[in-house]
Amino acid sequence: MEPTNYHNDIREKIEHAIRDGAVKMRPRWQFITRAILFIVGTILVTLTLLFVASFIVFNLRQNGVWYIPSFGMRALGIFLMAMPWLLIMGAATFIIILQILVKRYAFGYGRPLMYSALGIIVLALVGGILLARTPLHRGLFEQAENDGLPFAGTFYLHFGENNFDQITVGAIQTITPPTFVILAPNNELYTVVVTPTTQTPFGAHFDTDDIVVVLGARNDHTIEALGMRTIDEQPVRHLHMMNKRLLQPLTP
Amino acid sequence: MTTPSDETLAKMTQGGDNDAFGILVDRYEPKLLRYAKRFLFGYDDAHDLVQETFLKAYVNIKGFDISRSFSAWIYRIAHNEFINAIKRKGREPIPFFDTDTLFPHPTTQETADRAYLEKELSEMLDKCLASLDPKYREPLVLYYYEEKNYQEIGEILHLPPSTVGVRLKRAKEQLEKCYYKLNGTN
Repeated sequence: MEPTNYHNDIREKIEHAIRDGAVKMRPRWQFITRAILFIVGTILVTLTLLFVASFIVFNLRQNGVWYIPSFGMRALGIFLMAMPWLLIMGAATFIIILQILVKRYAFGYGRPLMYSALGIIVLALVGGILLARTPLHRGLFEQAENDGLPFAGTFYLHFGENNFDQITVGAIQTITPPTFVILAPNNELYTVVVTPTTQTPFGAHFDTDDIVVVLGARNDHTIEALGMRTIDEQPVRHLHMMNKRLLQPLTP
Repeated sequence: MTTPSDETLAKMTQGGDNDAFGILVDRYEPKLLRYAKRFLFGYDDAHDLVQETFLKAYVNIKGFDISRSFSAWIYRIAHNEFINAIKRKGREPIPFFDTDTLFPHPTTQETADRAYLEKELSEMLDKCLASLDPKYREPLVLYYYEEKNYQEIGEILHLPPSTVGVRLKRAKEQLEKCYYKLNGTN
């Protein structure tokens, strides 16, 4: 039969343990320190996530991939292939870590996981896009160019390089309809051939010095454009290359 | 003289009044033992786990925010102790991730079916509670035996109240299945 004196038994054992000093209250500062570390950790993970997300956006804009969806459904496959999946997986890891951290707070566990996960994803996307528009990454890239970024320098210089043979960014050098000669950030000149089937989502009027992104396979130094559009920013690699080229004559 | 609230006693304990903690032990011991015995069917260490719950509560009492519910706080410690015990024994699966918490669910109304407990559900609980998964058994125990509402159960289990409602609904369905199987009716 179950003993009936559990009640006093438990209280006595606890009082005994407290009297003997076998159990002691943890001081308040330990809880405060832990809470502060937790908040600092959450902030650090959030900032890292925003940095990675904005770096992804910055690179996508730099190498032209960002603008590819404007060429319609047939460009979607190329867009997906050109996404920096390694960085995206890194960002996803930070999203999961942040989700785990947020779940420790009442506002996190009190709502379905989908809400907090969506909230974090929206924060990463919107924050990433906004941060990518600030001079942060441009400045870091310039530092990397000048060997002033010891650890992340190589990462900055090489991660976002355009290695996709279907997407080319460049500045229009000469226009001889229906062809354009563009200068790409890798210091190469390409002849772009525009056909009646070329998608020009923002109009077919182009001027010299316009920065454009061209969709279409590079065949030697010729691209038959499946799509072509101007973009609203000059790639930082392009600026640097142009500055260097000022010192030497332009040769096709 | 008015009886001090749990939170007042917790504050007194934080200030070094161990007798106040003794009163809290007196108040919560029967509740936590009942919770342990109903939730931990087939585990013979309910008594030790409740004792360990109180010791942990004492050690961590200075981390308790007196603006919140002491009841939810100590039940949360007990829940962690019980879940750890189930994991240690390895007899019942405790999922690492639960899809119930993923999507929003329409909030199931808290109905007056505690009254319904009196007869049929009470019988179902007696006969079939032990056969349920821990994740369904625990909210049933907290709701029907400990008389906690969805919000309080959510605080204890760290779940959204709507998920608590879903678990209770599924738990009752499982109970019914088990009960009718035992009675040979449909």
